[in-house]
Formats: sequence, C-alpha cells, structure tokens
Amino acid sequence: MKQIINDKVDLIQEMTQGIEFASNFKLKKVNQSNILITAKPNPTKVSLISGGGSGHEPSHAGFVGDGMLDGAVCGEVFSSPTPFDVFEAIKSVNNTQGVLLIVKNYSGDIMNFTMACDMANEAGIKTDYIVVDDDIAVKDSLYTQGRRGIAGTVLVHKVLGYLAKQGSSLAELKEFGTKLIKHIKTIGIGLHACTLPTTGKASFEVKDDEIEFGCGIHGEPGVKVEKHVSAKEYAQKMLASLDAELKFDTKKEYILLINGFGRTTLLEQYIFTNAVVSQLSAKKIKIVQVKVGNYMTSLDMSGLSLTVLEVFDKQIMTAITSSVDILGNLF
Amino acid sequence: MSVTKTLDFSKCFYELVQQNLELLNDLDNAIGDGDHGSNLLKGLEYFKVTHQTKSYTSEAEIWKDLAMSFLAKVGGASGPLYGSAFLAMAKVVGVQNFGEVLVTGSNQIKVLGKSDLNQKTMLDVWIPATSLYQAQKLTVAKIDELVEKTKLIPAIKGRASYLGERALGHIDPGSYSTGLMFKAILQAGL
Repeated sequence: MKQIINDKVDLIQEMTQGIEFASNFKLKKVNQSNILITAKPNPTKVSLISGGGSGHEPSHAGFVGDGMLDGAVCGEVFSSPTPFDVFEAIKSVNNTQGVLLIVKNYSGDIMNFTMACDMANEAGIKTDYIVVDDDIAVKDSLYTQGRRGIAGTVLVHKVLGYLAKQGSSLAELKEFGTKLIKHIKTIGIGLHACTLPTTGKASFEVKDDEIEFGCGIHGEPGVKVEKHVSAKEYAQKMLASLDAELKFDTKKEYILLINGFGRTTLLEQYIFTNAVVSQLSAKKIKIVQVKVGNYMTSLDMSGLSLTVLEVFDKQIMTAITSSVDILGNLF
Repeated sequence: MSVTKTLDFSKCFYELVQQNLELLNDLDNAIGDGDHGSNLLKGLEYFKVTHQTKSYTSEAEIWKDLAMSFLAKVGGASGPLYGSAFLAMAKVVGVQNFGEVLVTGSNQIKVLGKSDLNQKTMLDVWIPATSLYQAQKLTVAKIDELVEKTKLIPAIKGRASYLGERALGHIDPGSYSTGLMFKAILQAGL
C-alpha cells in the first residue's frame, strides 16, 4: 500500500503541525503535544473539547473554531489519547466558565477522558463530560460495552458549540447534550477495509460482492456480512434499521448527515443522498436539513454512514444552520 | 533483592513484547484496531529509556514509574488499564506478598474496565494466572493454556464486543499481553 508519510513514529506530530499550517494559525498547537486549540479563545463561555484516536479527519480538529469546539486532542491512529494529554488540553482552554468533554463511547476513550476529568476537577477546573453513543448497529444492554459513538458526534459538536456561544452554563450543556444524544442515531456500511498506516495492512477482508453492514469507524468489520447492492437498496435497508429505532413520524422534523468514510466519492455520497431523501419524502417524512461529506472518516475505508437527528427542540435548527469558523466548509 | 527482580521483570516484559510485537498487532487486527503491541511497547520503551538508569531503592518506586509510563505514553484502553493496575500495585507492594499484589492489580482492572472474568479481556488470564501463582503452580505452559482458552470466550467488553459472535475463535490480544507479563514475572523470579 502506497501512502504519503514519513517516519511512522511521527505520524500524528506531523499531521497536527500540518493542521496548524492549514488553518493559517486560526488553530494553535499546544507546546509539543498533539492538541489543537482555537487561537482566539472566548473567555466568557464554557469551553468544549473533543478528541480520541486519529484517522477520523477532519474529526475532531477540523471542528475547532468559533461557534464549535475550543480544542481537540489527537491520539495515535485509532487509539485514545492519554489522560495527561486530555488534562493538558483542559488546562489550555480553561477559563472560569468550565470545560465540557465530548467523548465517543469506546472503553479506551471513556477511561482516559474520565481520568483526565477527575484530574482537572482535583486541580480546581470545573470539568464534566458527555458520552456519544449514536451507532445503532451494536446492541445496547447492561451486558455489553454499549453503543459506539460515530459520525453523529459532529452534530453534538455543532449544537453544543452554538449553545455554549449563546452563554449556556456547563450544567445546561451537559443536560441538553445528554438529551440531544438520545435523538441521534447512525448506521454505517463498509465496502472495503482501511489500511492502517502503522502496519500497512488492511483491517479486514471483504469479498468483491459483499459488504460489512453496521461497521464502525476503526476499520473493524461490521456486525454482519451482506451482499453488495444498489444505492437505493442500501438506503432502504439503512432507513429500515433507523426506523426501528427512531420510529419516523410525519409530524416530526429530521436532520440528515451522510458521512463518507474516506475513500467513497462524493458522487456516490450524493447518489445515496438522493435515494435516502426520495424514499423519506415518499413517506411524507419531513427533512429540514441535509449535510453530506467526509465528516468522520476511517482512514481510507470505503463506505458511508447515515445519521438521523430528530429535531425535538427549536434551538437545534438554529444551531445546525449557525455560521462557524472552522478548518473545512462542512458546516 | 526485590528491586533487582522488579527491574528484571520490566526488562523481560519489554523484551517479550518486542519479540511478539507483530503477533500482538495481528491478534488485535483480527478483533480490534491492530496496535496493541505497538502501544504497549511505547510505554515499556519510555520506562526503559527514562528510568532504567535511575537507582531505585524500593519496588514501589519502580511499579509507580512503570504505571506512569503506561498512563503517559500508551493511550487506548491498555494504557489506563495496565497503568492504573501498576499504580494500585505500587501502593501495596512490599506490604502484601506478591500474589496479593497481583490480586490488587486485577481488582483495579475490574473497577476501571467495569469488567470481570469470562468477558474476553486481560482478566481471563490475569485472575486464573494469579491463583496459579499463589498456589506456586504457574508455568509457561499453563499461561499458554489460559491465553489459548480466550478463543472460546465470546467478547462482552472492549472493542471486540462490537463483533458479537464473530470474535469467537480469536485469542484476545489483551489476554496475550497479560500472558507475556506473567511469563516475565516467572523469568524474573518475582
């Protein structure tokens, strides 16, 4: 596998340095760490931090900026950053308003971020966290790890980013965020595995005429293997899974996020978008906003995920459509 | 001297992880994200470089520095799990006998990972290997047997749990590295 890299040991250092340059210094790298924070912090609002393993670019550093996140902590590829890294990030964005950590539900992220949260509170920095678990592919029960946090996480960044800018307190953000997460559901399909830059190997094997249904964002296989079908049929299957969870209602409004995993072309993503919106419209389901693009990737995996957010509060639409100053032009 | 033995242990653990690096990554690639070996090696290398020249006067200091190396450098799930287990062990080593110290370590992993036996995690080697150690019956062959047995356990916790039944038939990478840790304990004569 050909990749444009240098020494594998320096992957993330070089990437975060590159992001700083690409942002034209709107983002600032903290000391020698892999933490990127906004160069112009707003001291009157609660700071929001997200992060996790790398390999999901533009998540999460690409969502740091006015109106969204204040900082992103980048771990090694698909590995959570350490508690020390997260604590360093908390210290670097802290003001008197407190810090909220937006964590995706993986055992590693939970352990490292909650340890950092404890360290911060012990150091007198008011810090709390919320856990995103939007992936419906995994069963949620007391006897499992619970559901994973995937692409729906960026909608949490956007909505809470807006509310934080409007002056919501740490407690209010935690409460609204927790409620918001319950209304976000995602399902993904993987057509080809990703190549881990550290090993140069594919993360799983999938036959030419098969796909992985319900796959996550770490190159892990999905929950089941299915036959490769057309965009329309994928839309149908994925919407059926989402409907089982959300119970689409003609009296409600929904926001869609179609997220490419890295290798899937925008051409395919738009074809899929057309299929999804057409099928929902035929059932008189009201879609008030559609977002399409590579928001949370899985290196060079091909495939995509479909996220549905049920608009349960008027502020959500205002938040989703509010303008932000971030690296890409995804919001 | 226990200080010498503990330093020997860290050296053996480092060497075993280094020798099994590819295998640990491959095991992780099958049911996780393929970096378990590389991550562990980062922590052990950091300990080696920054601390092995230090002159230690107690085992507790060594376990604490090992813990900090894992917490500061490893990340993922294995960093906090090994790191906090070693930190808990540092507090009781020298006070309790080493078998009890190992129990303290596994109790810490249970709490932090919200996990227990038979969930396809490192505890599936840590707990039974500790019992064998306490009964003075721990051998390399027994460790291999415990590691091999994790193939049959369905994944309840950790990243492999998302694969459901598809994780069956695979050795748990965390169990494999814990097996290496116990082999290092045997080699160092702890």
